[in-house]
Formats: sequence, structure tokens, C-alpha cells
Amino acid sequence: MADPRPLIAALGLTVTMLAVSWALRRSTSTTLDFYLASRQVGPFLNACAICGDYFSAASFLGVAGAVYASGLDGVWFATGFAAGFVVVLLFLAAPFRRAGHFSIPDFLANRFSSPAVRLTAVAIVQLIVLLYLIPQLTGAGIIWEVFVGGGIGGMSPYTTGILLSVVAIVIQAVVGGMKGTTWNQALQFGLKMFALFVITAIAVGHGFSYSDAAEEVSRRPLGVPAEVTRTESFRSDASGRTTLELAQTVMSAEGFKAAVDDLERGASRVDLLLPADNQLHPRRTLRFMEPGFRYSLWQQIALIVTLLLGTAGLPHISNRYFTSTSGRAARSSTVWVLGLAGVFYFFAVLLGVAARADLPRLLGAGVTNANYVDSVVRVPEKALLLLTEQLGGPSLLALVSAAAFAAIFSTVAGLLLAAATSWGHDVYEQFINPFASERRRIRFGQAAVTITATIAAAIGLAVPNITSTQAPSVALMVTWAFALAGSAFTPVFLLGVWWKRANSAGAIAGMAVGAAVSLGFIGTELLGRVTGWPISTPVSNFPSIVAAPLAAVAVVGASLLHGAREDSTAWWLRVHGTALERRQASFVRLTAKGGGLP
Amino acid sequence: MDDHGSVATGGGASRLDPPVAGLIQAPPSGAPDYSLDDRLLGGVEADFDSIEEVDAVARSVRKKGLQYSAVILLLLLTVPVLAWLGPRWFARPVWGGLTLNFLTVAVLMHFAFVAVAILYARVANRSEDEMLGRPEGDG
Repeated sequence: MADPRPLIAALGLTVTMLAVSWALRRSTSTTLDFYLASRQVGPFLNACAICGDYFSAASFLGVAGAVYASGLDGVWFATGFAAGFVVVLLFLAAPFRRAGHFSIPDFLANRFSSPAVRLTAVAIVQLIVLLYLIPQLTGAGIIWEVFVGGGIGGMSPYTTGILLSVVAIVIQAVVGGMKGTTWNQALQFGLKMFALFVITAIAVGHGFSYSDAAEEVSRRPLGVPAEVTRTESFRSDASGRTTLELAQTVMSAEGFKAAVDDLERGASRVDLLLPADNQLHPRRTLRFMEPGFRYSLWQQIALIVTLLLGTAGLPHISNRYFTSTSGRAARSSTVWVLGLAGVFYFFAVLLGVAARADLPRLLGAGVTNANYVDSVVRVPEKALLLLTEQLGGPSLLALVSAAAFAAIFSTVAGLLLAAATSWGHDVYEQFINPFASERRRIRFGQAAVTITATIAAAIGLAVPNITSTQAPSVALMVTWAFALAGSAFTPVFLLGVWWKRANSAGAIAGMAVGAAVSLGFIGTELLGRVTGWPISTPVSNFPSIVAAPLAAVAVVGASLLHGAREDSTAWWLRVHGTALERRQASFVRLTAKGGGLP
Repeated sequence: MDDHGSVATGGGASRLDPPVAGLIQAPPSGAPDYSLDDRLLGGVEADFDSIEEVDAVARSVRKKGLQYSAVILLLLLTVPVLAWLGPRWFARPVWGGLTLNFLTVAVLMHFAFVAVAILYARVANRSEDEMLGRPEGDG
């Protein structure tokens, strides 16, 4: 173990988290307490908790990494992640809360008065949660490997990271319920924001200037690390230039000379930087501030649509809206979320630019080792960590390690509670034991948290054994969860909430079509990676652009074909009216004045 | 729903929100709890929304939601389309090395989101205030 400080920081975070849950352990006496924090979470606290829940490792390390690796195209992840909350605010935040339900399946089952809708929704929630959980836990293993470096009890660092994280998060969620999780998520968000702010301040102290850095990184074409064989390095492309000649256009003089020296000494493989292909304007040399590293025009639009629709369908995010005090408070929370997300992503993007501009300056030109090729980071997700190490040494790295674990803990806790709510409230209480005592219901919810965490941990532990170099990255798997959520749930939410004629047949058809089409596209991507078959399509990673419209058509078509008008008037009045909130406000005013019950 | 079209506020999962809940006796074991809000808050006569009012406010809020979402979608899609059209948008620096395209996606778009969010929240809240509810005593 190289330095104990990151481990101490991670342990400090865990102890704080468990202390918060312990302090709030009495807030789990009813299912309403355990799953929804008694619906008493104020707008700002809920906004911070939503941010804690939402800004996972993919946001904390992944956005800076995506910007670092791909420049402008990487910034779209930050913007898209934030934009998703605009859809939530405009169409769903207040209705989610006013409906007064426990979970996404509960919300849909009550809207469509259908147990089949509930069960279909439960299945999709579990799929989304698993798709989201696995990369988070994989991230926990990787972060433990990077920061702490040692295992416990003969286990590898990766296994230790996953198992300790799961145990800590399960205890937190089981002991503190939604209230404990809410406070923990809010504190963890504060820690992430603080870490980004401190790294930025130290970077500025080291001479970082956003505008100058942008100028610096745009001087040369964008270079991508690549390991090439000796034969490949002398092979010419269509323009007649060899791979080495192409590398010379993006590498520093020192880095290029070192690579050529390696080849002259007879090395069979050599690390080079190669100019990135331009997907948007293929004849144009790509630079950091320009679009085209990752996406063509249609892929760009597909990404935007997928992220825009995905947020609204994520079960751990919608669950947070059920904890608000009122529909209006749910709207206020979302406005706060958009403001906080803007600040968070401003820093994340800035640090991606800072890493690209400052690492070569801090390291010196031409550094090639396990982490770098010509002073460019090999694994983009490590860019923020390596910048932190260069700027502030182990102490600053300890802060970032705590923030990175916070990112994982807060998201995983939200996901586990979302899964537990759908198992506990939607399956156990509705179908298995409707007359269970409150105590027994909570026990089942706690067991559901533990079992879901165990399954996700088992898959997370198996990931290193079943994947290869073609394995999807953590950020990509999270995007798949967005795609499934945005395709299977969001169209059904939007039409269910705002179109009276939507009925249970439409809801089931919409969820089934959205899930099948999005999973089909994701399957082509996964199969293509594993087998090498060219079956992946340009939208395989962002299928919502195809799947969500098809799901919407399915909702409308099946609702109209089904014919029967299901009476949802009471639900409609509740979700779009404000009578209950006005009456509750009157009652609170009345009791505050010392009046009794009417 | 009663004869006046008012909502019997409740539903399968509608528990009364604390601190109000703490002041009230729980319904008998096994009884549906959807009437709890009404028993606590004076019944449906105290204040209600008619179906016509709620339909009107839903139409109004939905229309505003669609208008604001069209603005956001237009903003979001304009950026890649401009980038596809040519380098004048993405290659010309406007502050140091920062291009207008980069600044728009990294910074300005977030201001637009917050501005739209604040405006929409105000407009939607105002619509509900104006179109729903009655002066006290006009139950």
C-alpha cells in the first residue's frame, strides 16, 4: 500500500456515512419513513440529494475524462446529463409528487389501474437498476485499486473495493432508510463539489487560465494514444503517409524521438499518439475545441435525445421526487438541481481542459510510462486523478478518493432503495402478503436492499473474468441504463400524465416496445464488441432516438386499439389539481394558530 | 369523486404527510387509508378542484411545458447542426482559445436551462394559483 491517506479518507467517509444513518435510525418505523423519508424532504435538501444520487462516478471522473479525451464532444455528456432535468421539470416533477405513490411501478399501476402494468414496470426497474449498479460497483473496485492499492484478508484490491463498498452502503441504507440516505447523498454531493472546487483553485494557483489553456490545447491536432506494431508504424494510409509520419504531427519532439529510438533499438511494439479521425468533417484535422471526435451529426443528436429522455425514467431519481413535501416543492428542487448541475459540470469540464493543457506542462514533454503516452493519459477516466496527483500530491489525492467513493456510495444507495421499493412495495405488499404488518414490510424492504446489492456485487466481481479489451466502459454502461429508462419509461410517463386516453394496454405495449428495441440495439453493440461482427449500428449506444418514438407510437396505438376507456378521473384530479396541497397548507396554518381539527 | 366533480383526495398510497399525520389517529387496522386526508382536512367540502378546472389547468401547463421544451430542444439541436454546417461556428476563438461552440455547450447552455426552469416554474405555479382554488369561505 503506497500511501495510507486515501484509505484514511475513504474510511473517514464511511464512518461519517454510517454515523448519519445511525443518528437517523429512528426514521424507519413505517414504510413511508423507510422508502420516502415521510415525504418531508425540503426543496434544497432534496436538490442536493438528487445531485448526490445523480452525479455518480460516471459524472465525477467520467465527464472530466470524456472532455480530456475528446474535447468538445465530451462536453456534451455534461450538458446532456443536465438537460435531462429540464424534461423532468417541465412534465413530471410536480405530477410525480402529487400522485403520492411509492415508486415508478406504483405510480404507473395507479394511473392505469393495472397489476400487469405494475409487474412490467417492476421488471424494467430491476433491469435499469442492475445496468446502473454493475458499472458503479466495478468503479468501486477500480477506485480502490487505484487509490488504496491493497486487498484485505487475501482478497485482491478490486474485490476488496467492491465488497467493502457494498457492505457499507447496505448498512447505510438498511439502518437509515430514505431519510439517512437523503442526508448522506446531500453530504456526499457537497464533498464532490468541494473536491472539484479545491482542485480548480489549486490549478489556478499553478497558473491555469481557461482561455489560455483552450488556446494551448488547440495548437496541435487532437492526439489519441495507441500501441502499434513495428510493421504498422511503417504502413502508409490512403494519403501515402506512414503511421509514424502521422504521429509526428501530434507528438512532441521529445516523445516522437523516444518512440523512433525504441523502433531503432528493435522494439516490436511502440506507443504513439495518432491524430484523431474527424467523424463530422472527415477531411478536416480535428482539434480539441472542435466537434467530431466521437460523433457524426446523427450520433450527436442521438446522444442528446438519449440523455434528455433518460433522466426522467431513472427509478432512483424519480423516487427522490416522491419524497418532496409538495408538487411545487418538487419543481423548486428541480430548479435547484439545474443550477447545481450547471456549477458541478462547469468545474468538471474545466478540469478536463486543465488536465489536457497542464499535465504536459507539469510532467514535462514526452513522458511515456504505464499512465502516459507522450504525456497524454492512456485511460481518460484517470485524467482527473493524475492531474490531482500532480497538483497536490497524496493529500489532495486523498480528498479526491473520498469524493470518488462518495460518488459511488450515493448513487448505489439510491439505486438499492429504488430496487427495494419496487420489490417491497410493488411485489411483496401488493401480491405476496398484502396484510403484512408494517414491521414485516420494512424487514422485507431491508432484505431486498441486501439481496439486490449481493447480486450486483456478484456480477461486479465477475466482470474482470468475463470481459476483455472490448469491454464497455463504465460511462458507456451508464449510458445504456439511460437509454433503457428513456425508451421504456419516459414515453409512458409523458403520455400517461398528459394524455387522458392512454390506458393499461398502451402502457404495457409502450414499456415492452421501448425496452425491447433499446435492449436490442444495446445487444448489437455488446455482441459486436465480443465477437467482432460488424452488427453495431450508428445509434446502438444511444438507441432512444429510435426506441422512444416507437414506444410512444405503441402507447398511442395500443390505447386506441384497446378501445376501453379506463376511468382515471380521480388520479387525474389528484395529479393535476392542487386541492390536497391547499387543504394540507390550510390545516398546517390552522394547527399553527392553535386551532383543532375541523 | 362526488356529485360536484370534486376529488376525493387520496389513492392507494396516499398517507397524510407529517407533521399533520402525527396529530391524527390512524385508521382502524385493515381499513383503506385513502380517506385519512379528507377526515383530517375537513372533507371534500372544505376545498376542492372540479374536473373542468383541473382539465383547464392541465391543458395550460401542458401547453407551456411543450413551448418551453420546444425552446430547449431547438437550442440543443441548433448547436450540432451549426457545427455540421461549417467552421465559422466551431473554429473561431472568441475568448483566448475558447470557441463560441465550446462556450455555448460548456457554459451558456446551463444558463439557458436555469433561465427556462425558473421561468417555467413561476408560470406553472401562477397558472395553478389563478385557475385552481377558491377564496377562503367559498367552499
